[in-house]
Amino acid sequence: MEKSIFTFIEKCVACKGCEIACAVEHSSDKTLFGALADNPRPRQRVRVEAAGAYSYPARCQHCQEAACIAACPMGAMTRDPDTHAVYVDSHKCVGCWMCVMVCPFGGVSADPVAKKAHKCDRCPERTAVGLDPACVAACPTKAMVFATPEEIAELRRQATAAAAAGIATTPVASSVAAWRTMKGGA
Amino acid sequence: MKPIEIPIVEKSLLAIAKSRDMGTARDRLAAMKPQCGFGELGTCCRTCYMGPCRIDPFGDGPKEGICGLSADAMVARNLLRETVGGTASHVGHARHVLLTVRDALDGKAPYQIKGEAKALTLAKLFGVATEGRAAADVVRDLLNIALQDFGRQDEQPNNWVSKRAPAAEQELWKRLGLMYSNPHNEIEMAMHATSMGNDADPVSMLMRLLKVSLVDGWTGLTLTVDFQDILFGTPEVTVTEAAVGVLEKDSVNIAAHGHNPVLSEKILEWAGKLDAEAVAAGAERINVVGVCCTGNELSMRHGVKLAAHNSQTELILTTGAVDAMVVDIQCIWPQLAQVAKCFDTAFITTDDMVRIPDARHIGFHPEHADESAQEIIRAAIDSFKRRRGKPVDIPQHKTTAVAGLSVESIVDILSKVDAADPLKPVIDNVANGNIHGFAGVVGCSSIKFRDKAMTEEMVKALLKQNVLVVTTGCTAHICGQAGLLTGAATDLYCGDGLKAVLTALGNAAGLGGPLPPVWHMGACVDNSRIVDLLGAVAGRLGVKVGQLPAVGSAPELVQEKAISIGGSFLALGVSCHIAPAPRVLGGPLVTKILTEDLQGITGAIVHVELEAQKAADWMVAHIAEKRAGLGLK
Amino acid sequence: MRIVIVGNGPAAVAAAETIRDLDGGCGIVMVSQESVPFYSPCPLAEYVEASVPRAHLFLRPESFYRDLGIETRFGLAATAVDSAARKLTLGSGAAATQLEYDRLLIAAGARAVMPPLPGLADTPGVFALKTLADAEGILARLAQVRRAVVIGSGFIGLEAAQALVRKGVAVTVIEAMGQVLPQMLDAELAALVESRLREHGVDVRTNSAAQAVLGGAAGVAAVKAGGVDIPCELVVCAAGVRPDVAWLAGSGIATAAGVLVDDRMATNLPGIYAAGDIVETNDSLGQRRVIGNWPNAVNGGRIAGLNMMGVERRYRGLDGINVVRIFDLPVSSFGGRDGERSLCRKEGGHMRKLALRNGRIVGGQFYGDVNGTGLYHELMNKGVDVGSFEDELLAPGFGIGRLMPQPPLPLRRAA
Repeated sequence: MEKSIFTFIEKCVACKGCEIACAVEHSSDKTLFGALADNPRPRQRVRVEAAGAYSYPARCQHCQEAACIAACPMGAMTRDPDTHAVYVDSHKCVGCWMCVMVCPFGGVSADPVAKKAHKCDRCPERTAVGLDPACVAACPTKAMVFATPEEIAELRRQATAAAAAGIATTPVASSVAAWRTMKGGA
Repeated sequence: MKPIEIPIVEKSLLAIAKSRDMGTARDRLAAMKPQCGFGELGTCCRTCYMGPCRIDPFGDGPKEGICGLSADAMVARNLLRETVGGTASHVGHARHVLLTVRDALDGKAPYQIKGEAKALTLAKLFGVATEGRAAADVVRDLLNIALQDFGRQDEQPNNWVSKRAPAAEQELWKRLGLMYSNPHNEIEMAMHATSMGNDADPVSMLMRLLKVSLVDGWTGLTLTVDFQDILFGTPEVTVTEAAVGVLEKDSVNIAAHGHNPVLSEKILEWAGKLDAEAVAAGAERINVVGVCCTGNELSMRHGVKLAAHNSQTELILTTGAVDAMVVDIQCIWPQLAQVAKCFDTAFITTDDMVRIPDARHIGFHPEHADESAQEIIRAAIDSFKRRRGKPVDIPQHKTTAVAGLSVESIVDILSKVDAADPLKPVIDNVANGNIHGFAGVVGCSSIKFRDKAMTEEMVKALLKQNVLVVTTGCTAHICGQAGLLTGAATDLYCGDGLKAVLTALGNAAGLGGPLPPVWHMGACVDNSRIVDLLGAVAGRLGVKVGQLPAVGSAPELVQEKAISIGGSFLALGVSCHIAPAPRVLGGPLVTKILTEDLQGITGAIVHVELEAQKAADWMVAHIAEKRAGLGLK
Repeated sequence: MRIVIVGNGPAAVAAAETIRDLDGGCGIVMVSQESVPFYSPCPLAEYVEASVPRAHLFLRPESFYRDLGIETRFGLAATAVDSAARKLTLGSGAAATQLEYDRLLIAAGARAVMPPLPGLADTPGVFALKTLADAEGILARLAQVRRAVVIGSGFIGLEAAQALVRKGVAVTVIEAMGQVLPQMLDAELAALVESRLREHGVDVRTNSAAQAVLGGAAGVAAVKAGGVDIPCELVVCAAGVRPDVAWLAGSGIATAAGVLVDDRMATNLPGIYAAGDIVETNDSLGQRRVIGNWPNAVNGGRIAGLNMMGVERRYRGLDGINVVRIFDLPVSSFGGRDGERSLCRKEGGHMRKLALRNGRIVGGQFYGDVNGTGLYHELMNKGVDVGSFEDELLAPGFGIGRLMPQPPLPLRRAA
């Protein structure tokens, strides 16, 4: 199967590097400083959200039965036949926001400036040349991985096996463990 | 266990903000969440332009900076720079006060020396002759000794630490290489050491952190407080009120916010002199209220009412009843100018270093203090004229609060019990266990902890376990608003032993009731008064300060100043509880040094705990260890 | 096998595509009263205001029916069903023809409600805004229109109003109820919508029921409402839509307000299914309702197509969602407004409200910022108890992250 983005929530430290990388990738010249000169400013399509003691880079899940595609009355929400990623054809989008209404993940948002639906397109220009999507490439803790479901299943299998064998899967310094515990509280 | 509720004052103020559709810091915090883990852990370095570098706490990503800097060195470096920020703030405050005293002595600034007694006490310590001399001459000698430290390049020990600090501790500091000379040199060296390509040894940087903290403790806090007492007098016990209900609908309300009494003293003075103008404008009177630490300064010396701690500053403006908020330095949120714009509130900055967009700036310089103060008061009266007749929304909460507990006024009270040996009644009761020990609960008010009443709940838990609490800063406001600065709180919250002692002392001192269980000792800069008190008790017992059954706590850390103050307590051997965690957890070695190994160096450690009851329990247990060390049960 | 589909809207097309996907060989006949190929009615107002070109209304290529091997009978109304004989009648009287089917899908949609007001039905210059023909009728008349009256302030009425304003027409919206968007919003949010409409020059008159359309053969001259004559050259009647079920009388197909279907989109008669605006079935909370909107049509059509071909798939229910833009500002709602309590957050001129009952979300209304509506809607559909994080629901930063399962806290590495 094709690759998609998986998240290891326990590794996310909410640095929001993915947010910046995403905005830059979707800017006119794909550099940070160039992006700052864009008008309107490019907007990120991933948002790091609090998840109790953890945090989670929320974005479109590129669902197999995508509610947003069914809901779009303009035929603007489209699945790429090659990568199977769901993207917005902004020439067709009229900004009716039906997709925003039906996405159960909050993965599509309304761009108030462009008046177009706005979501993760899984970086087609990067993946076409074998690069990981910008958010994955930017993640300093490798909390996000671009891989096939089979590869991810194998990673998880290894982790489960290691845990069953009594080997700690992601042991961290006790001070870091304490930080994670405290995040859950305050 | 009853659920902990958001304090009623916050609840009422937030309801007003909500009714006016105004966002508050709580909303801005929610928008900021989740906050960056690299920042929280301290493993983000922006010191050079190969970076920024971030170290992955989980080990899959980068393990060191591009230059090879370790995670521990990174967190130590960052923490040291925070310490420098705090120390520079207090040293800057001290220097401003010194220069004001100088100008006053030179007849250039309209301030009278009101603290002759303090000058005479200090003169003894510093070997300044007093016999037959005018007070002004004594003060000038002290001033010159103080100013000498700022210019010296001879590496001789700094006067204010070598003459003011307890001798035993100075021995330790000399051994550890922590004694300093010129405070500015230490700030410079710390910035230098932490710039790119210098100190990379986390232990070395932590030792420098202690040294810079000592600069804060003695040249920052102690020097400031000594000269503020010389200039404005030493606080005496007074009764005031706390919380937003001290605003008066029909008066010209002037909120003095910031830290430097050089401004607020003049505001208070001219408020009295210009009261008739306010009455002519239709007001009942001019009501100067205190906010943050300059509020504490005014409450300590004049019984001025305490309107708000730092995290309430934007909220009290939403009452619409503040005619002017006049600010000087430190902890001034830029947001205040924006909130003030929504009302007939003049938001006035006065320090040329503190410029805030959309604020009105009336530069306040001691030489023109009278003119500037009048201009500020009149701006407030003008605001009142515009506001008059419009509805305001002032929550009616306010509580009685006893303030003004300087070491001198504490000794005065205790002298009424035992004139020959004032500290004896306290020491006897520590020995017999009626007083388990002392906690200095100090520092900021943080919106991250306000809604669970962290400070109040922790203080109540300490009182219940017979720990006598002294407080300063915004923490003092919190205690005041919670009714903890009253004799009544002794009956309500204290364990039997502490209750008996405070009741007996209060009665013996002729107060007709118990002493408050939490002693308001002033602004955050007045933490030196706590150190002086501990020094006096230690001196009386013939032990080191670090041996006393005492502990510090900054339960709602916000400002860098709290880091450097905490460092000065650690250097003294006084362990500190802190919440939230300082940004060092990404460095396991630094974390271990601060929380464990420092015990073997200065005799103090840092303890992080975010829950009030658990924090109090740790402090009680820590005091118990200290008691055991002294052979007490 | 021959599949006959009555309708050519989103439900009909979704079903046809699903069926063709499953079976390349079966016969598919699509019947439609309109003569144009499949188009989206949602952006008709934008078409009138010229922000959406006509070509963008047609969501399939011209060759669509040919490519999928679909036989079309357009411009013909279905008039009767003989379920025993499995025959559908097209047209009436002498011109009537019959079409045999093995499976029948009724996706004939809804009709604009035209209230029985004097002059409404027969005065030139009165239009609904339901079909492409309506839109083109309005466009053809626009040159002679300075003033227009929109009857009804549902989302079609308001979309029509703003399209006309953008065409330079002076617009009056009359609404019999005390507020605009009465099906969608409570009075507080409706007041925001009303003031925004007024800011953009729309004359909004609530508590103002239309009484008559005045004029003659030359065209409409005024609308009488609330005892006042409102002069105009154009009337858009946006008094709601209703499932088009009259022609099914006597067929034995069970109807109420709409065609009754189960969660397989099957009617009470074997081989006959229905989908789209015409159906009446359970919503996602189990209440039987008629909710016409694009997602319900597409999802229902797809479920119907699957079940018609023997692939059992159950529909989770109609989604009661609405979204409209008031001069570019999005306004949305879902579910009901009958909570025990409501949460409200106002910020920067925006307002977000959630209705709660028994610790669960039962509806939401959003003015200005609709992001995240889908997540709240999903929480309602799933019946998630939000009591423990109620305070966070409308706070900035709330999102799916809050609902993620929490991994165990990390192991501490041995020293």
